Amino acid sequence: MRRVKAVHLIAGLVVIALAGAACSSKSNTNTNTAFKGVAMTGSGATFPQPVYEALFKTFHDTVESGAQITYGGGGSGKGISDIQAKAVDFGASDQPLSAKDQRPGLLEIPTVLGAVTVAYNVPGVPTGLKLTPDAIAGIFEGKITSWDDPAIKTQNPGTTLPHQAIAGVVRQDSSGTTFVFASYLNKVSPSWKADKNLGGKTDPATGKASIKQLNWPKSFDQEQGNANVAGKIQQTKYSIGYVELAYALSNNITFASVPYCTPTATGCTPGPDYVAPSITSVSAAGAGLTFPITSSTNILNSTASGAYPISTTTYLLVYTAQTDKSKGQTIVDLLTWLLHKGQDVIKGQNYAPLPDSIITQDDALIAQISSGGTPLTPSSGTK
Amino acid sequence: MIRSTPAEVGAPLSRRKRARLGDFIASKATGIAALALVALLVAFLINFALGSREGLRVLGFRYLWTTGIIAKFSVQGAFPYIFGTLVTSAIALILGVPVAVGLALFVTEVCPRRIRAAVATLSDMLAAIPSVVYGMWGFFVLTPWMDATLEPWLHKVLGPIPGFGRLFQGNTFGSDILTAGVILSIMILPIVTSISREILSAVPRELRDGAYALGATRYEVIRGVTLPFSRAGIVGASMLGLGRALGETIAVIMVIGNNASVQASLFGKGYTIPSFIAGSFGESGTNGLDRSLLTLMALILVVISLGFAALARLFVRRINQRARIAFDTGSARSAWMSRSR
Repeated sequence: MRRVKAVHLIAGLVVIALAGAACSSKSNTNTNTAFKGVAMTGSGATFPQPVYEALFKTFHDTVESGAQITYGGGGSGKGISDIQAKAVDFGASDQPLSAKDQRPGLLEIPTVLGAVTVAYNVPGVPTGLKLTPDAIAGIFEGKITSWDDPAIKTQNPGTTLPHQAIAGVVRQDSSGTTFVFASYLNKVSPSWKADKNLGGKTDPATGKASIKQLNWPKSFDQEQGNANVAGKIQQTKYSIGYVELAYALSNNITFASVPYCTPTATGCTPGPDYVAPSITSVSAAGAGLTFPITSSTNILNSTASGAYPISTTTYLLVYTAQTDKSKGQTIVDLLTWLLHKGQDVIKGQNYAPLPDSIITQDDALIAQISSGGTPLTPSSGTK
Repeated sequence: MIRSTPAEVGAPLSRRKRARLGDFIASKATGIAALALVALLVAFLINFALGSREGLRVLGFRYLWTTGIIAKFSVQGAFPYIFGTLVTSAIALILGVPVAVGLALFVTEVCPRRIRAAVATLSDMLAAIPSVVYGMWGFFVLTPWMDATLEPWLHKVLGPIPGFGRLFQGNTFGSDILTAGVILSIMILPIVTSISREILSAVPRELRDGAYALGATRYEVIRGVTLPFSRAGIVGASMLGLGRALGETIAVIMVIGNNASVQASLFGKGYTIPSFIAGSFGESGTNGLDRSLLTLMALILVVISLGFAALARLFVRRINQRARIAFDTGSARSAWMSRSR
């Protein structure tokens, strides 16, 4: 009898404690808006997926408790086709819309910045190895094969580079990271662009340049996903590869510093300042973003001071005319919060927030979103 | 329909009366199961063959022996995958089977009786380790060790040998075919060992005793009686090991480099059909040609595996026939003498 009573008492205490925790968790630390938000769905780019998921969750937990946002990923292509078909409430794309994909009233709103780092593992060589764009292109084309090649050595007089073969580690799967890296090399290296396997590779289905999956040199190690590439680099001495910034920063990987280069008729002359990838230097590159967004907008090889050259923006795609007023309001609140108060979350995930100059222009874009003719203004507490 | 009736005393039972419902059900059920298995295999083959049609129609059979990229379709030729599969499996057999047979001989012939069970159990336990764990171990432990220690040594010692040395040229760092082959050989060890153990212990005692009685040493008995008698079984065991090696995906994909290249050196990167399929099937969802080519490669893998299995059965049958003839026509002594040639 007494034993049964003790069990009941403990169970009761546990239930009360849980109820108390559940009741209290929602009210303390958030900046609740009066408008509660509604559920939404989105799909698209996988490059920003980790930071989007963190942002959406924080938005739901601390700002609008009704805004249950499901982000399906699936790649930029899927995001674009989904939002064109209005199958989702918003799409996400790593690349600006091509002229063919643009739709009247479809906004492209830059949200976060990312970057691709050139990571390496050479015993005795610390982080910050200076590599010119030509050197990077030469290494990844398989033309520069030794670590003590003059192309690398002359830029790094103070570092002892061993006479060892360079072991390249790249992506085997189709990837946004490869796309950004290859787009950069296409821009700054004529020899890369002319190489049929790398810069010049075309997708037979579309006839366009397909640079998400490349035919790398025969001696290169190909792995699936950023995580495996980074892991392989860390395991293999004298290796070099390209890894997304967020991953590189959270895993203490040594990466190279890259300069801005001035395009000339035959190549690209590197400037004097070598910039290491970091949240600050990537945000600086974001300052070079020009509005309105066109199909060729990018922030690669940015002229902005202190900018890391291999940076990229990612966009959220939404319609200006929202048929559902609650969803429209949720979208406006989400975007505003993401650009202003969400910056800490973005930095916490090792992505770079947009600089203030860009955020002001984004706000102007968001102000165009309306429902039933009435513009939707962000709820208080989101800015 | 079939009724069981009590037997009449003294009269032979007719077949019909002997058949009972239980037997009927059992025979039909096992028959259906066997048929279902065959039907499944046939269904696989038909499914894959149909799925490969488009790829073959567009690219033709030359897809299978093209090493480089077929420029018109921007598709990598399939020969590197087939080459990598065969080479890694060959390395696995060359390294694994002698060790496995040696281990089996040790357990059955040499090992003190007290620890025999323990050694046997330990070697069987290797089979229980999942492939992905082998892959992880290969990635974190084996590859760095091979890069830093074994491969430079091989390069230094065997590299200079003309001809054979071409297998050991090139940069030793990173993933390579040799590491994949070594991991596969470790993975086929338990299968080949345990079956070889059974085979070796099935050698008739009178043959071995006869050989000992004639003054043969232990080595001569093993070489002259045990191994020849077990040849068929060991070939069968190796084929089972080969089957496992051909199909290994995860362990290989982590250490082979996934680069579709063909070269003489074992230190180069490679690709196998299973790792190609595993790495590419996600991307090929929307592209009909890619999916058809993947199906074709799966079909090729099945054909290779079945082909080797059939070859093994042929080989085993021939060995058994020769053995039967020899044993029928002679005494233990002449059998022993003809074997040791």
